[in-house]
Amino acid sequence: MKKCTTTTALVRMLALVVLLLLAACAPAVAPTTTTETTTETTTESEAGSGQAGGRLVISTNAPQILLDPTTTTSNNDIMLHLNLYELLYRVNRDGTELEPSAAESYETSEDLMVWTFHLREDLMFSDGSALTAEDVVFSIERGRREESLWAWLYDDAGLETVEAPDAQTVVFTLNKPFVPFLSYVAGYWAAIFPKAALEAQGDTFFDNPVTSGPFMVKEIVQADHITLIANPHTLTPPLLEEVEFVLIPDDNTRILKLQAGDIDVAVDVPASQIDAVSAIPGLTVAAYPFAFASGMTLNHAKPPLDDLNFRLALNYAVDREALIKAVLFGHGEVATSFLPKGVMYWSDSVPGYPYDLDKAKEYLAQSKYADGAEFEIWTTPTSVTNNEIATALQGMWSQLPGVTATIVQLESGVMTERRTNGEHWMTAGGFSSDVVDPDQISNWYLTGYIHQFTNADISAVQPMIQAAQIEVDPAKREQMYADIQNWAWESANNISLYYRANQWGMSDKVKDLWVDPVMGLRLREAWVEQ
Amino acid sequence: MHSAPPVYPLETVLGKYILRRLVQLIPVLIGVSVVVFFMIRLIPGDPANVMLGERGSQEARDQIRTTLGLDEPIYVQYGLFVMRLAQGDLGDSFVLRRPAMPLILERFPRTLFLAVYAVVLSALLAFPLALISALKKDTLADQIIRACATLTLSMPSFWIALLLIITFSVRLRIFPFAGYGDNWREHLLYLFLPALSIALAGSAVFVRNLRAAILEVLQSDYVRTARAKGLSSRTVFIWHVLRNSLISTVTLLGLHVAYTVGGAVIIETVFAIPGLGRFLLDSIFARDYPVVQAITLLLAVLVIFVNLLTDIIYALVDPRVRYD
Repeated sequence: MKKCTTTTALVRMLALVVLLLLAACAPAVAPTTTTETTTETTTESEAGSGQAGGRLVISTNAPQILLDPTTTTSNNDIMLHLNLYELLYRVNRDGTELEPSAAESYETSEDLMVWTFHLREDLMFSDGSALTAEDVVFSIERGRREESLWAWLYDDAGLETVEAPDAQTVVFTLNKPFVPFLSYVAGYWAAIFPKAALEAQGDTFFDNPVTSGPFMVKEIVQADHITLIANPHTLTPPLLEEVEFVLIPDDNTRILKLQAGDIDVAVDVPASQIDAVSAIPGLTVAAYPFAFASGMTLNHAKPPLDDLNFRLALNYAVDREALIKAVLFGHGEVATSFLPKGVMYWSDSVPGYPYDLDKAKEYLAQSKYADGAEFEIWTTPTSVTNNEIATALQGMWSQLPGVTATIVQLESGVMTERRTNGEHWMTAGGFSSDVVDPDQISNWYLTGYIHQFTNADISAVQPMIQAAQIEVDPAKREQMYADIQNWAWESANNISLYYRANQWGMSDKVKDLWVDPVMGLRLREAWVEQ
Repeated sequence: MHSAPPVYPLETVLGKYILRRLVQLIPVLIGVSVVVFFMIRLIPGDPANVMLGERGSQEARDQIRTTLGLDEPIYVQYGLFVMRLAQGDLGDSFVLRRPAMPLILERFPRTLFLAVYAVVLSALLAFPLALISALKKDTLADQIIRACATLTLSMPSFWIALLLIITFSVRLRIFPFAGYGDNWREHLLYLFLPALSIALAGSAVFVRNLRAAILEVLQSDYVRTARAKGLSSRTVFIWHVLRNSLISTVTLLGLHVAYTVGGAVIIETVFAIPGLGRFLLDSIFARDYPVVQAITLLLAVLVIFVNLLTDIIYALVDPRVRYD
């Protein structure tokens, strides 16, 4: 009798486990309605048009929180900084131009070497103290100090001195004419801090910083969450009363959290889940324009990639439409230029490399490696997308007679080290721009830091980039960048693959949340339907 | 003529044994510090490159290397590390720019809580199932328990974790997930599913181990003798069978705590628990040498102490075990 009871109980437990497993495997919510994924999910907001008050919970995939802009390059930290700290100028919503922020105006000398900014009056920090030009000078100088991760940026711009002739005026003096300079003070690295408080507290200041932006820190639990509250001293107060950023590195967990209604916004919805999340009633996937380009960086010094025709053959043998369908489930756009599409002066005059296997074979036949060649594609094991891209490319290039690509997975630190030693053929990856002006990416990717990995012949493009840095006429400058992009295309400098939007999952109750193309999350106008 | 060896009280012997093990800790820690220090530096990947990413000039990289003391010869770096270690200073995190030890001590209780919680759940699940399985050997109940143990053991923990989240958090909304909570009650609720994810795999091992041990002891002469003396089945089972069967399971439980603390990376990532495992993984990727060194040393100390504790529990469970 007892045996029977125990067995029956166990059978019931087993049945329960099976039921739970079945329940877990079934679709979470029946896709009864379809929410359209669009690049126009939010409309232009007017500050004050939404409901004031409310609390927003955003989940990011950050491993930790770094509130000192000079110590981080993480997009997750940038999102916080741009809501905590003021900048002189900032990127507008669609990334087409720069708009005044802490500064109300600026002027330049005729030779473009002196830039003078006039601050708005009555600016205050979150502790009620006045924000003056001295604070701006201190903050910029701090960003230029040797241990800052962004000192190089001011060096690139040729910044000599920054001074405050009076409380409302900041004067930058450069050692060369530099048209994109406004973009270089419109990034989070140029955040404004209170000189007195930061000098007094040192690095501990960032445990609970006095802020100049629309929000201030209420609570921070490292690696877990940070809670922001509206800064009562800001000139244009935000509508939201409180915003909590919850750190959830795992993509699946973050999306489940959104599905469970525990969070309002989940950043970076994986491409494989965009359609499923969009189908859930009450949720939307917003696609924000993103200054990002995915592609393969090639080492021109390493055979067979030293041959232009071979590089062209590889480019024409890539079916980018198929790649986007396979890797991004269709949520992407074929890249024609190395320049990300959200950046100013991206040119549609660049034809790209439409998939043409016959043409690819012709170029291969004209190359030094007509009989075929072997090379490696390097990826990191942690990047699922890059590994899928590498696998797809490996298959596509196997259509070229005698061409064999081998995929090699390397931990990111190891890859950087070996890449620096010039051991690589090509690496998979993408990059995003920190500024909307094309100078930074053009300089960095073609002739700057990345050039040490491409070893490309840049004798033709280097003067073009330098000329574009001092051209004042926007129309001429646009043409110059079109020429630069066409140079990269003609020389098959790299293998551009796709552009994609920033896909964020969110509750329908979230309104007027916007992310600009350089990852500037704008919370000032955002609100939550009560 | 031989005199009988002196018999010391257990407390004295145990005290000496603990002291000896603590002294043995010193060379072990020195060995661990050497291995950890050089191993992390043997991995290719310059912290300056990792910190700067694909931005910045060579000058900026050189400056960061100087600031972090990485431009010194490796033996000088080790000397400085040992000197600081002797003063209880494990250096500053390269990434968070704070002393490494407080950062680790902030996260350690969360992971330890999770590990202990998981082991407690494992024990609660495993003991009754192992007893049923052993006492009802080869019955349907035994077969089901053994099949379930094999099933849970073969399922990856991250998959179990996702199933538990979907079932108990998203659908039934019984348990919260992702995070740690703000107080003890919340800790227990938030960490239940992560602990269960670990416990399911752990309990499968315990069930199989304890079942085998019980079956072995049941066949022993002293159990037969005890039964022949007329002791009740209950007394025989509790005082002779169960107590002797527990020795190997106690070892496993101890090892499981140490293993869970060191290997909680996946569960901490899936459940977004700001614990030590996630911190270690992120620090390895970031080449944050001071943090990696400090966590590894802490884990080494923990493993040694857990082993010591396990050995002490042996004596309490089994009077035959002595430390002389």
